[in-house]
Amino acid sequence: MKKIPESSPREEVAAEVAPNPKAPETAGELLGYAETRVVQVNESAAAVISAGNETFGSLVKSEKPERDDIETAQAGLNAVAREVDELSRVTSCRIEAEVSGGYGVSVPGEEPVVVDSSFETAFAGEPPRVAADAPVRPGMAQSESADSSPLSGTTEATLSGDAGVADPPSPNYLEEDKRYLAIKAEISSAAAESNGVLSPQHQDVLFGDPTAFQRGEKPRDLDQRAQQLFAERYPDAASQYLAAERTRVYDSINGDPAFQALGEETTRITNQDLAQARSGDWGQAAAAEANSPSRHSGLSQRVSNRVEFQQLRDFVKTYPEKAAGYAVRWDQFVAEHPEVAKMSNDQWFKWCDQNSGGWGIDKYRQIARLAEPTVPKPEPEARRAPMESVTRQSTTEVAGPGASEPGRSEELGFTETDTEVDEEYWGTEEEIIDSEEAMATILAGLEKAGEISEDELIAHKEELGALPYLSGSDADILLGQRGKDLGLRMVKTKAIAGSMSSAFNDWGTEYADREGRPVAVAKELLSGDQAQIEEVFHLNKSNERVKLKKIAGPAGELYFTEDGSHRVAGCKLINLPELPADVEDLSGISEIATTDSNLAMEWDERINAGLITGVVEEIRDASRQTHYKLKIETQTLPWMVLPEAQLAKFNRFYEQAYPGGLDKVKSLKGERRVIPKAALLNENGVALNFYMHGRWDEYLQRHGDGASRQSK
Amino acid sequence: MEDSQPNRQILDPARNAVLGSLSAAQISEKVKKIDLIMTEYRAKLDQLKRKRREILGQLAAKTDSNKIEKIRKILYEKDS
Repeated sequence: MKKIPESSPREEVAAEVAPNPKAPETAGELLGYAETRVVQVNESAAAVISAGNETFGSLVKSEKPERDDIETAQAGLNAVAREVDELSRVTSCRIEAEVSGGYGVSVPGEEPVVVDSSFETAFAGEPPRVAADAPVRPGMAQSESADSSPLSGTTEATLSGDAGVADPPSPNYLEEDKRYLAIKAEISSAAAESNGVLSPQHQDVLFGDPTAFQRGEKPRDLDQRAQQLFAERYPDAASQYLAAERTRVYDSINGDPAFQALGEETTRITNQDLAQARSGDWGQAAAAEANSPSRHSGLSQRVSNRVEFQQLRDFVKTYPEKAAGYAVRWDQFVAEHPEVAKMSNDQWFKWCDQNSGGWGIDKYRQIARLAEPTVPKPEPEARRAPMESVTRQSTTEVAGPGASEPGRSEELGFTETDTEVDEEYWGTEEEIIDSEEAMATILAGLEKAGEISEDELIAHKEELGALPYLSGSDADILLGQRGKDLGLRMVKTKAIAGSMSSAFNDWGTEYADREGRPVAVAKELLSGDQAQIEEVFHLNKSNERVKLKKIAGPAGELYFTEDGSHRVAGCKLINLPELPADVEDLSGISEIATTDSNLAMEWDERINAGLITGVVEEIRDASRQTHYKLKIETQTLPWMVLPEAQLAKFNRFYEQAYPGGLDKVKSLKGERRVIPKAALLNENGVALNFYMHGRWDEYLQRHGDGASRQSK
Repeated sequence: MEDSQPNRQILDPARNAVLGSLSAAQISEKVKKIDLIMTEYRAKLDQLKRKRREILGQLAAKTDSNKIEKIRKILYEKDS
């Protein structure tokens, strides 16, 4: 028999688990320890599979076995590889479950254990999870029923009231009610009597529902048990406390049972979604990611982010008073820390990482952002999140024909008059052209423009600032991509929406060292001298031409200048109908990446809602920075990848440029129905979120005729 | 102002609650359990590596005899 090559050194190194680093002492270190182990598992599994394939390949090459034998061996190796893969996945999940306390984590082949501990559910009288045949401690078995409980007589005597009799509670909240405190005390003392003295922490866990603990489930705690008994004995009082609870704002949101229930629901839905992904319900790409040892944690994180966001939104809707109260905490925080108002999302997340309690404050921030459209606020200016403040300010700068006039902005920022734009203002598809044709077209355009004196140019220059303008920074993630080079084209001057230069604020922007540049360009063009026109457009020097990036929408294109913003401004100054430029088309990009997890989450939501077809991949680089890559198949609009605030702004500008251009944008899934225009135009993105989650009718009910009119 | 939530990657509030309340002894216990899981993993991985070696060994054993004729046969079928 041939000597079988031993495992490769690389495989052995990877399979060997490195000596333990410093023993973890904190929760953070424990997480790091577990993560290191998971990486080791994944790497060693991959190395074993890879080494097997390498050895197989070299054997086949050197020994030339028979084809049947090759196929038999190949099938056997494939089966081993699948087992190794599964082993690494299960091991990773087991480690993850250990760190998570075995709670709410999907382990293959096991149903996650999630127990609803919400205050509301407890009051709704849901019985504790006690198996019929579960062993029950003597003292607790009796306390299951209020009637037969040894506590009941004592409790009633203490409270001087009949169980179930309406007795309006004098305190505001349940935990201040003496009857409730008495029930808690009785549960503890009765349990302690039968079980011996334990620490309060143990009592809290064990005495709530010891049978659950014995079954390995998360037990109801003492409070939940007491709440349930209170609701059974004093239903009217319980319902009043429940009503008060619905509007109650806690000192810390983490202490709010409604918020705690949100967390549990997030875990449940996340597990459910991941199970669907694994089983292939979300398509092959998602199934591959969900079943991959190295990638499933990324998917899990994204799903969890999305579900939590949706849960927070539901929380705001279900408990508007609570949301308003928690949103005020964010206002207070911003007032005390004005520097956060200027932070980008990434900066803010970094701040949260570096400051104790940061992530708790982020909850208030998220609620403030979500609560803003629906909850009346005493001080709207102070309620805005940092990014929103910036966005809102620049939104008011969106110039359209007449948009800068005061009093024209209503709920959606456009009035009927706003849509009455000069339809000829915006251009149509350009055609490729050579330099001679370009010169001829320019000269014809100049004839059309007519003669304009220098004084008139200077006077008109002031009007440049009022022309429609959309800053390239409002679509930076899209404009930063590399598109398809279309070469030299004649482009409708008025279809050029804005500049990618951060120094440009509008078409009237002039740099201090190049003051008067648009007027100078206009004068050169108006001279009609071909040499001077060449000096402006460089038709024969491709590297010095005006460079534009093109985004083609359903009704026409928008362009952004990468180079030559002042030359474009000069053309706009003299109403030159078309100008020559090298064009790069961004309409068909197939990939886009970000480090912003919120944007990745938005992409996921849009994929689920049929606004984009594609998949979001998570990549972690050597420096442990996480990147998210969206692989695009199709989009409802070529700019659907933009972050929520930018998307709404872009849509509004486009609708202004091409009135009715967004009337027939269709969903990519189901019956491919038309997406309501109001969902696309709503400034704060709330309407789009309602639409994406199948709650459009609800949105219309809330916003009445205004939204209906915009939908049409 | 608010409870500590040190790592945004951990979004599951239940997990946060579990981790945040762990004592040093409990953390040490979890480390032991993770190490135990790793030990089991290594043992199972070794089994699979042995299985893989057996498969490759069988393949190598079958290449001892009539190798040239077999290779010709494979190549002929491949070319035709």
